[in-house]
Amino acid sequence: MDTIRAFSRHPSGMIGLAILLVVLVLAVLAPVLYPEDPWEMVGRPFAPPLTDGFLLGSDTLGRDVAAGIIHGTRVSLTIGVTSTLAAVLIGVLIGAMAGYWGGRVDDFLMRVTELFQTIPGFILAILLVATLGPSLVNVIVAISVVSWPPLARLTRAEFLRLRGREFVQAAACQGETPLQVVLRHILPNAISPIIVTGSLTIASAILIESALSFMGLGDPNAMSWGFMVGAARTVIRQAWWMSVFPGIAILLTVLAINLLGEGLNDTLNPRNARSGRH
Amino acid sequence: MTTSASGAQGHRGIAVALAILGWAAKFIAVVLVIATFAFVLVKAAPGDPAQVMAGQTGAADERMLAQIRQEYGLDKPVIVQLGTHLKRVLTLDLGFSYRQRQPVSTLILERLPATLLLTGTAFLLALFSGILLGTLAGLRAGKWSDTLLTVISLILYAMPVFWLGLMMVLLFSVQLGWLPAFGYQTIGVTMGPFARMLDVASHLVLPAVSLAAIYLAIYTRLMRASVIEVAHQDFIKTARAKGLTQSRIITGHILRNAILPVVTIAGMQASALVGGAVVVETVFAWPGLGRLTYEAVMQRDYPVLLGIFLVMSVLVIVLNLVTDAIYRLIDPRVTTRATN
Amino acid sequence: MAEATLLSVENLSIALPRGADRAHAVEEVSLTVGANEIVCLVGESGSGKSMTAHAILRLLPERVSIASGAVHFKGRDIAAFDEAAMRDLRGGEISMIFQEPMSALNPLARIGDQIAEAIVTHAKPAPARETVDARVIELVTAVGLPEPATIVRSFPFQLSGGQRQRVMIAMAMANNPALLLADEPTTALDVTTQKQILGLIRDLQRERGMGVLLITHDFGVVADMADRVVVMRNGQVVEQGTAEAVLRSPQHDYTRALIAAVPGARPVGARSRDIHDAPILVAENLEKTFVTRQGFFRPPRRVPAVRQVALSLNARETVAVVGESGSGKSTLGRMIMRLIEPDGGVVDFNGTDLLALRGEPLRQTRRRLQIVFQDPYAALDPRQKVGDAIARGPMAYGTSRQEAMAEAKRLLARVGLKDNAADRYPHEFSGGQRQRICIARALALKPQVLVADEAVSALDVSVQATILELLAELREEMNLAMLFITHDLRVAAEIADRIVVMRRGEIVEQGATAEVFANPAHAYTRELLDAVPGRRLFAGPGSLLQATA
Repeated sequence: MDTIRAFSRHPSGMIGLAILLVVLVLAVLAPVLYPEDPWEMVGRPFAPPLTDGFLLGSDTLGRDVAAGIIHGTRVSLTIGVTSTLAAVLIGVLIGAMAGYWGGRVDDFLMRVTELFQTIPGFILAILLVATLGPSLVNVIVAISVVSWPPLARLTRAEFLRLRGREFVQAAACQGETPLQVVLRHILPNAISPIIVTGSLTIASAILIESALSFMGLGDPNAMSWGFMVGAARTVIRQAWWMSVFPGIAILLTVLAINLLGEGLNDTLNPRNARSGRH
Repeated sequence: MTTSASGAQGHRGIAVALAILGWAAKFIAVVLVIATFAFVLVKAAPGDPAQVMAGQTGAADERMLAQIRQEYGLDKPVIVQLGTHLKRVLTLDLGFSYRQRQPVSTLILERLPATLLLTGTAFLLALFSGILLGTLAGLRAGKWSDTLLTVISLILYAMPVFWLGLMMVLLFSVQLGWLPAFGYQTIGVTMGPFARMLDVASHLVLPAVSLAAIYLAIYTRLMRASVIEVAHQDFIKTARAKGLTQSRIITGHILRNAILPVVTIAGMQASALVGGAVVVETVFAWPGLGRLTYEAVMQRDYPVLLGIFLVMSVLVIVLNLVTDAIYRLIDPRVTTRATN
Repeated sequence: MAEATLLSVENLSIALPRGADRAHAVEEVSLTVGANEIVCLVGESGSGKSMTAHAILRLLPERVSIASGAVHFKGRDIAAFDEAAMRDLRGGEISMIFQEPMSALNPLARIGDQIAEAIVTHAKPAPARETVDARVIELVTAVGLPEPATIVRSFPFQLSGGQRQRVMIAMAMANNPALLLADEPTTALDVTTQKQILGLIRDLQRERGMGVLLITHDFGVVADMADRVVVMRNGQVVEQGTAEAVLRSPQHDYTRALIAAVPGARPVGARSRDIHDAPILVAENLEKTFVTRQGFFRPPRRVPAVRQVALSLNARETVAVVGESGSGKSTLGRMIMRLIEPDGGVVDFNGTDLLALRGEPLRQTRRRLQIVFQDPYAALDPRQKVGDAIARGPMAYGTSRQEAMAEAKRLLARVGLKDNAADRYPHEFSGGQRQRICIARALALKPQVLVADEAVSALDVSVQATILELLAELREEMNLAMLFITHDLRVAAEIADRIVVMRRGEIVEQGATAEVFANPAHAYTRELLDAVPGRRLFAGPGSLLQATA
């Protein structure tokens, strides 16, 4: 409750939340606002914004840019959230094991994590999608595979820090089983930074997805923002609107999530939240 | 607790030698693991591996497929295939691109300089300007210039790289006509070496700035936070109690300490930067490895993709080495520094 | 002793930012320091003593400012100084040293350069490099650091805490200050190191005829160092006068209470606690070496923490394990609790080998051994209500929630907290109250052995005294055997039946408390006893026990 109240007083966090809510509403209402298929050619190609009944213009094949953006919202959010959930699951599991058990398990898991951080993630994602085939599921798999390492490192650091904390040791002395100790004392105290980093991971997942689609590696059946920019880039001299508007959609969505994440960080961060400490 | 300072010099030499040895071992290990990984990936790809290696667009005939099977020993057990593959990687043989009909290493070496120039410039640009701007913001925390920098870096941080590149093309090439939009140099014109250098430089500006932008934003924010944190540490109070001027405190005590976490993060971000180069080169038709990646993706040219993957990973390791060296230069406590 | 007045603080008030727990950190404080005298500013945490010292050099934290009053140095009003004049004063005529030697030096700069900086800043025109170097060596030698030529080339991380504090003092002495402000300069140090540093400050003060304002929370230090004493509480001066007057015949109740609370200063009650030779816990050959891996090719670093330690604890007995940092005393306690796995040895608890237990049998035995930690802020889960924290233990062993909560409330009342405490979170309590909660939590499982790991070290003396009293009562009520781990001999003297002295992982001496204090057998024990501050006034725990024996 305190957290919600503190967050409501965080101006940039609230701005982020507001933008994100608008994006969400658009995603939900997409079939109502633009019931026709965004791939459908509905008018004259190369129509500038506000002409021929196109709010944001039409593309090279006469498809409605606005319809593409609204429908693209669903793709971006779905991929961003799903791949982040998978990345959080992998990252928290690996980080928790490394941080809780320490020793050789930690050594091994951190070597693996380091390796994944050395490999250029985007190129790995390209390779994965190119090999497995460009489908929604494979894109999600590829993005989660390259997104988990920071979460694993963070979780490990938190677990390592908390495992040595005296209240955790006290719980063990009180006869709580290791699983109870982890679930009742370590995880709840580690969860805020994981939530914050998780929210920022959604943003970066959306960026990776858009870059993959831009390179022509998105799901060919899903209208996405990156694909729209990629398709329009060769005609940028004649038709700026085709690449400008989808880009703004990405920018605003990612910005909103980042602002929200920062707001969460400021309100959930123990340094600020528990000021009663001393 | 008490470490005798005597003999530290001798220890230092040994420490450096061990560090280099450690790096070499890590290097080889990473290369081998990545090569194995790539091998597994091709095995996992749907369809006939020979067909995969030849490229899926159906250009390969039966004779070529037979040749590929023979070359990669695809009829032998998997473990033998892996062994052959790793041996080839270690002898710097990256295979043959059946689509381009050239050895992969030739293709890559041809494109490598352009990528090195781009990523190197972007990396240094982001690091130095980030440190500079972050310091300014940190020292003016709460003032309007700090707020402005914060807002700008937030926006940059949210921008897709390819879109930022396109927008800069739109503004600086299409609208203003200040800078060339595409390519590495003006083609079909003969110039002196100096003019050629300027020409390349002018082509470099937009791609390098696009690639650097997001990292510039990250380093600025990080440096800002770091400066603020260091400014509150005990030894800064000591410095003030010594009677030092504010500028002396900043240059002599805050900066060096504040840079350390930025250098660490810069090392960790190297892989993302190298990945970003792929997109930027695609946007600007920059004839580097990224552009080659795009072409290889379009043609599903696996030998090339795998080669690039390996070389780019090596590039990341090298960038890590550079940041690690910078760190060691700044911080005398290297031997006691934890790995994370 | 005081000649001319060097520093005078007049009616100084320091305002805290809005939203702080009180409006002023310091209210209407007046004090003086003469040339050639040591004035001790003494008080508990939150008394405003440190703020007062920082205000003199205008080194207050952001958003904290002097609200009213004046500071005069050599007759000049410091308020009238501009920033440049203030800088000349700092490290020039007035120097300051701080509590944490570990963080007070720039980790990335060489010791010599940091001292030289203090010289160069105040020398106009800039002196020659050789002159500065020579002066740095001279200063490093003057503060008693070994191998000055090596020290100046070292980095702070290569020095121990005591050595770093000497470096801080060398830096402070660089420009022959008239006044030294020392803010708890020995609080973070071991007692033997503290003695050396205090001796150094006193010697330098005498040699140079400096004025020293020494801030401390320890009346023992006051007794050893002060010419005059200023006692502060909640931002106000409650009493000041010569050391002799304040210590021998304190006028104010608070001063009296503080002095009475100094461990070892109280008369020790009857010692016959009727303890029989019936060991409940016997540890033998305990061994622990911490190994840190240092990367691929470097050999791992091995730090032996505990070597071949044997220890026994009788039923109802309190054994104090005394040692300085790095002595292995905490590791020993945690090995017995199985929080650190020993490399070797045996811990026999009521006839079972504790170290051989795993899983459920270990969990079942664990309830008989409980621990109270040093830092009451770190020892409670910030997200768990106090009642839950206490009830969780019995519940883990099958007690119903209602029963466990009722018992938790009863325990909270027993340790002196209101019964609504159960529904509140730890951050709503003070340090002393939290330590009471931790004690209640440990006792909820009705243990036979209680390990108290520096359980009163983080507390103010007055709180310390009440917690010790509580522990002394509870051990009788619950027939507890206690392993009391502490760095403070005075505290050990108050509560222990037997004392074990540890040094660098080994036990150097053990015996009945009175015996160890009266006739220390080992040189190190004598050194420790000798370093206890305030022996001049409080006669020290040894003599005290002798008197009652």
